[in-house]
Amino acid sequence: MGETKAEDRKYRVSKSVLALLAILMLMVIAAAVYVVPRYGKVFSAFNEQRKLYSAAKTDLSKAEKENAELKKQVEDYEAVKSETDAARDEVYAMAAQLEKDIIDGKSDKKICYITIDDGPYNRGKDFIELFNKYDIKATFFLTTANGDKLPDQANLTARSMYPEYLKYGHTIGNHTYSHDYSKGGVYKNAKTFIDAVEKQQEFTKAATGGFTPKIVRFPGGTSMAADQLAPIQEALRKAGYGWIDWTIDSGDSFGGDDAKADKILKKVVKASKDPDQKIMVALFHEWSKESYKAMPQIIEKLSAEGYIFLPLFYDSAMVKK
Amino acid sequence: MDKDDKNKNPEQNKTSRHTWIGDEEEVRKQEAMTERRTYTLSPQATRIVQKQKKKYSGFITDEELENSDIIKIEDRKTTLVNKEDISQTRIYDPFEKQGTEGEPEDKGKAQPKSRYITITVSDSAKFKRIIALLAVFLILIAFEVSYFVLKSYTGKIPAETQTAKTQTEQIVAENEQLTEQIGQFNSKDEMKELKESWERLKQKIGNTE
Repeated sequence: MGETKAEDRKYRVSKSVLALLAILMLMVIAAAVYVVPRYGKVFSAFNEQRKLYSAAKTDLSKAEKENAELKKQVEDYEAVKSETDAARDEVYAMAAQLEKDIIDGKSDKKICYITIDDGPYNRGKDFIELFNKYDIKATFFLTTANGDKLPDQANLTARSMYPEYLKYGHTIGNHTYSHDYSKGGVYKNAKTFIDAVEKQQEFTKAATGGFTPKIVRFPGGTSMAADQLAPIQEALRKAGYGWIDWTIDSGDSFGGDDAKADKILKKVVKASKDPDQKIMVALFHEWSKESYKAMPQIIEKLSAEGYIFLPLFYDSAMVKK
Repeated sequence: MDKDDKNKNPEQNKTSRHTWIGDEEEVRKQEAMTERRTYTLSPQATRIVQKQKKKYSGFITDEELENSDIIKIEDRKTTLVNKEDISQTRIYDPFEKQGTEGEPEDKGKAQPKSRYITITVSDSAKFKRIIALLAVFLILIAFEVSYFVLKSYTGKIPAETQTAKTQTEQIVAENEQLTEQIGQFNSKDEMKELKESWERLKQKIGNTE
């Protein structure tokens, strides 16, 4: 008799299940025969690809992190710039009102718009430093006529100077691209003039990262336009520009003794006594050493006369539209 | 428990142990017990256990077992050999025909077809080997699955790597633009100073009212 013992285990299994199990085991063995010799190669390839992927993800992560930081910085800068621009716009609004009050005789205050023409050249930085020292703001009417290379300033280019003018609240005006007031130059007709203005505009925008001046100064003044003045003015008006001449020419472009510092000072100070010069637009040139020499005293004397030094703005009553 | 102990408590021992002779299906049959044959696979096995025919009751008591004319196997070695040979599986078939002593029974007739197979594992060592074999197969299956998974990932990863690289290039270009943009700004101190200079100018202009 067969003995059944306590540890005997009985399992009742369906024949079809057994058959399936057998087939499965055969398949597993067959697959193992295929897989085992290839596993090493596949594993190496996987590791290789994984390393490359990991490196790419690390680079991406670094770039994203840097991107987030840079965006944050830009946001911070733009926030401060926005506040600064708001303060500037308030000044312009107050200045416009002050001009009106002065013109209407409601205010005894005086405004002086110092305008420096023909830069960037050789004294742009010097004038900026001087104005900053006296905590005043001026207007620079720029042209590309001098080329990109600046004389006596080996490390500077004209393009690199443009943002410098704006940095401390001074403003930039459009003095045309070529400053060519010879026959056949910018005053040939309205189109040539507008082309010269637009070309200078493009250059300014590119060099400053977006600043587009809306005030034009005619090379040599509006009197140089002669019979083209009206069409040019119309064209400027249509293009959204304003233009301005000056109320006092320092004389630094005349040459001879009249262009000397003491004569310049004397002329400007004399003009400050004129009741019609309560809103003064003074013309100087960046290349004039004598103007630069006279400027500190000009500022002091005019300040003593009660002048507030402001940069020009489009809504100023002095800007023709 | 030896015979003396059993005689001390005959009542207790009468039905104290039930020995199943057949499987569940067999239990239900009310047929005469048939002769069961033990097929010896070893040349050393010489004994055939023969059981007396009696009415099948489903179980047998100890007393009946002792009083029967069962030939006890004295050859321990033979017994062990038999057990080893047939311990893995013992297939019980309900034999209808009685066979003669010592001769293999003709199984050709009347074998009822069953969809099930009963597997008996009588030895725990064997059982552990079966478990170990199953474990090996499971490991093999896991190994093979991992192979195909690795292969699949290896095919997909280059595209994802290229996507990451492309994204990185775009972001690096954007970073350069942002850096240039930041360069155009004044420093924060300069911008604050500029703001303060506008404030001072406002004070100079003053309220004209």
